Amino acid sequence: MALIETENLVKTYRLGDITVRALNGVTLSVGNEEFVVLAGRSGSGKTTLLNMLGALDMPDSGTVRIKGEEFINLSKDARALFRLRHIGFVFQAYNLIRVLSARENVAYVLELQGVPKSERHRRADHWLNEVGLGDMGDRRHDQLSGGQQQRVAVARALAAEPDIVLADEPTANLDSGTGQQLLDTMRHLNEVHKTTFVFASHDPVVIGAAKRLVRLDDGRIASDEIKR
Amino acid sequence: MSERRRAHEHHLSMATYMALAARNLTRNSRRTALTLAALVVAIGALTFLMGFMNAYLVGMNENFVLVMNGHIQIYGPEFKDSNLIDDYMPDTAPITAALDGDDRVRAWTQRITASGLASVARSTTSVAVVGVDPLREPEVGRLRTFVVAGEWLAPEDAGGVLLGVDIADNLEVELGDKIVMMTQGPGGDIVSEAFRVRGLLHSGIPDIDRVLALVTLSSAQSWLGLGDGATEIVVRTHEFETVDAVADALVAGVGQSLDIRRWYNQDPLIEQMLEMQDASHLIIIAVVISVVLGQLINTMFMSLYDRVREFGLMEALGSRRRNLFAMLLWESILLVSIGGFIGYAIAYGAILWTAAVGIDLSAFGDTLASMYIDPIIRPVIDLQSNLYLLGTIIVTAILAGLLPAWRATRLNPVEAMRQI
Repeated sequence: MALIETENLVKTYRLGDITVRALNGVTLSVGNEEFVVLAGRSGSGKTTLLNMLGALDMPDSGTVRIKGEEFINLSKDARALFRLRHIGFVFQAYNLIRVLSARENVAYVLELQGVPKSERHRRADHWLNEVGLGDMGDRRHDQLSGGQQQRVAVARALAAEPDIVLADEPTANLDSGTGQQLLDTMRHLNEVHKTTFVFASHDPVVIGAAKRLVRLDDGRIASDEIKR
Repeated sequence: MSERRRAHEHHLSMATYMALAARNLTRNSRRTALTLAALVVAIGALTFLMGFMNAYLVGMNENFVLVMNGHIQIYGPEFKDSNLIDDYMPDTAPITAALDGDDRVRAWTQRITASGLASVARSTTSVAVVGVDPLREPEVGRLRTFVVAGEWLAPEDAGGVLLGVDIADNLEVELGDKIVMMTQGPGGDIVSEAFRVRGLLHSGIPDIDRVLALVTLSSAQSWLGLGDGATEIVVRTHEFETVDAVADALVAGVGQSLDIRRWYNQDPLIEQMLEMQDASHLIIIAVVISVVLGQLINTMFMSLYDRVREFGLMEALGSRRRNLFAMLLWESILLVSIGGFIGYAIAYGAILWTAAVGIDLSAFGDTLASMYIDPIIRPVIDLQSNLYLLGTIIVTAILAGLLPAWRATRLNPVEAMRQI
């Protein structure tokens, strides 16, 4: 069974008088341990698809299943619980809760998961160490660079032991060197910890790191290729 | 995931909520400081105002009782309705015996009250003739303290009278002058008697200064032909709290056919003021809450809008609506609690200080005295006021946080994270 399965996803938005079809019948299957990049130009539907895979947005029609579990018809709170148990996120920016330190940001999700205090601090420190921020646990967002903030978000996503990490343009606000370092870290974590990563990005650095590249165009899958 | 952990899913500890609340309040320190200042002023003013109101209301109650009304008044069954001397109590011995046997009773005295006229050669004025026991009366009331000229009545002084200063002015009489007083005796006969002015009373209370003519109880009894009878017995208990129990015991014992009244039923003004006490507290609280609520709700909404992206992020990370709701609510509660505590502490200090030195309103002495209010006000905060204040702080905090907290639960995480 595939980890992620979508069938014929359709999503339209209204922009004033104009109806935009962001997704137009997307069927996709992602297996365990994959490192997938959804690529495409701006407006191709990659972020919309990623939001649906993360139970943040609902399609007009079609289905999404994670580990065989359908969440389209769940309530808002039930979808929050679904995300908490199965999905980790790394966003383009504003990834951190600003009043919390790096360690507290990681521990926040663990607290939501019901992890005891001593264990969540140990796990937070472990994952911060994994992303190369072992000595920056007490720093808040304004004491961290953009790349460091993204690494904290990666540590937070992985500390929760999700089935999938979804990353939306994670390198968009980083210089190419920092973006490459972040991608190297995520790729390493994919290989060592076997966590599935799905990216939405048009950054060549991200596309270059993909093991599988799915190109979207006008809300459809234009190509789907295994790279390496 | 273990069942134990699943049971704690979405449970954020109070420490986490408080840490988030405290740190978010310091995010925009100027806005927080302004809101705190408004809260300090509002809760401080409310606290002091309550202390001030308590002081004059408690003082008013005590003064009302202690001037001449007592805690309990006992009349013949028809006297208060008819106001006729015929409805006096001819035999008060069983009642006074019962009062002597009750440890809760501090003192009692008998009086004879009759409406009449006081005359000198060229003028006449209406008076309330009151026969008092010169020895017992000071144990119950303060009439003796109002003597501003001359002396209090001596028990054996059958021909002496003390007049309110306004009566003396109207009649243009002075100490030692003779006046004739006239009233109705039993059966409607008009009886008159000459008295000599032994003293003048000034209290600031119109019922005393303008109408009271005090004579000894024994002279009133013999003048009106009432034997050992009296029109009223006034009782003072040791404590306000025992008044109802003493009155109930009297009704059950000797008072089946008597008209027994408690202090708070004696004067419509006092009764209304007491009934208004709670209402006026609530009105003031409502005004204060509505004044600070606008500022608070605005602050909480600004706090929400500043962090829309963050709330979207938290929701994306798996926070449920109740987590977001609780975050803003605790933030509001923390803000109001800090402002409330500082305001209360400052006002409490002011109350202690003004209670020690007193707020001198002597310039309005007669006006205040007419309402049985002391001219020196000493604010006091009691348990009930503290509970009102605590309730005000809790209600304000919840009301201020409720709407923004509810709004936070309605955010769509995707749209929220697009906000700049």
